[in-house]
Amino acid sequence: MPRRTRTRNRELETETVAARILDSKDTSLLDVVDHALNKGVVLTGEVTLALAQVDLVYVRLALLLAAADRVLPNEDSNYLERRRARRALRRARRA
Amino acid sequence: MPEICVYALASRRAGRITVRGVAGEPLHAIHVGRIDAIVGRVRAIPQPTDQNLRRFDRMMSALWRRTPALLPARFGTAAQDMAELDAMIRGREDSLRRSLDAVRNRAQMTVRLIAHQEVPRPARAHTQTGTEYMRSRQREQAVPAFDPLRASVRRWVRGERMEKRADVASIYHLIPRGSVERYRAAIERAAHEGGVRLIVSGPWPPYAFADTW
Repeated sequence: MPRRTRTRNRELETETVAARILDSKDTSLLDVVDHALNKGVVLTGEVTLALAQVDLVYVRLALLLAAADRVLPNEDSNYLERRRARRALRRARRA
Repeated sequence: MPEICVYALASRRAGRITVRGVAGEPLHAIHVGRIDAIVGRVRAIPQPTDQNLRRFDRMMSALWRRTPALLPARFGTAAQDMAELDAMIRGREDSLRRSLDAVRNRAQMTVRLIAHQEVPRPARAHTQTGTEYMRSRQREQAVPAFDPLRASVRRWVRGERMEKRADVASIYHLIPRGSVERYRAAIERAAHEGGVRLIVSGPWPPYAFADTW
């Protein structure tokens, strides 16, 4: 069974969201979510378009939910940073 | 319509699988080439609820403990029939077999620490070229506090991934299954000596090392 242990620094940093997450009693949930995000989660759905009880179009959809940096590993998770970086790259290509 | 829920890939194995799937269904190993797909037949693919994600995690750990080489699938991976399952795996068989070899008899350990004081975020607005951008990314992802910790466990590490989200830095190590306790003791000792606060968890199935699947 996996075990979790903590090592505490004497000079604890001020409480942040990250600290609260790591201090949570339910760190097992953190691992579960981390594992799910590492691989991603697939949501599937089906749509059948029918007319006069005749099935005309069948659509099967698969939606992947994952941490952005797992799918786009060189991208920043911050949207504004990502946009700035892309603009800079475009400028550099044009120059 | 019943679906084939794909939970993991494994190297070819013998024997019955006693672990049950997320919906409580019996699991089977289906041979595709020289790989086994561990699947369950379900009426509907389970939804990614808190309870189901926990069940999935427990099931994967139980499977992994009984299998020398296992690559977890994404939660919700499904095939409508055997032909679709075959197509999923057959075209990537070589790379999947290499990934299975890489994780054989190895465990994932996860180390987390708070990294908000580590690296000041560089001003990206001045980034001009792709090279500069990549360098700035590299600087951002660096977590100097990890360096002494990594050095303390280097002898066991067979694979490593590191990432930083918000203020939490995570390092994933792939280590021999038999070295878990020594790894844990070494990294905790290094953290204590360096005054670093961290959480070590594991051993886990190699979620962070199953990119090809």
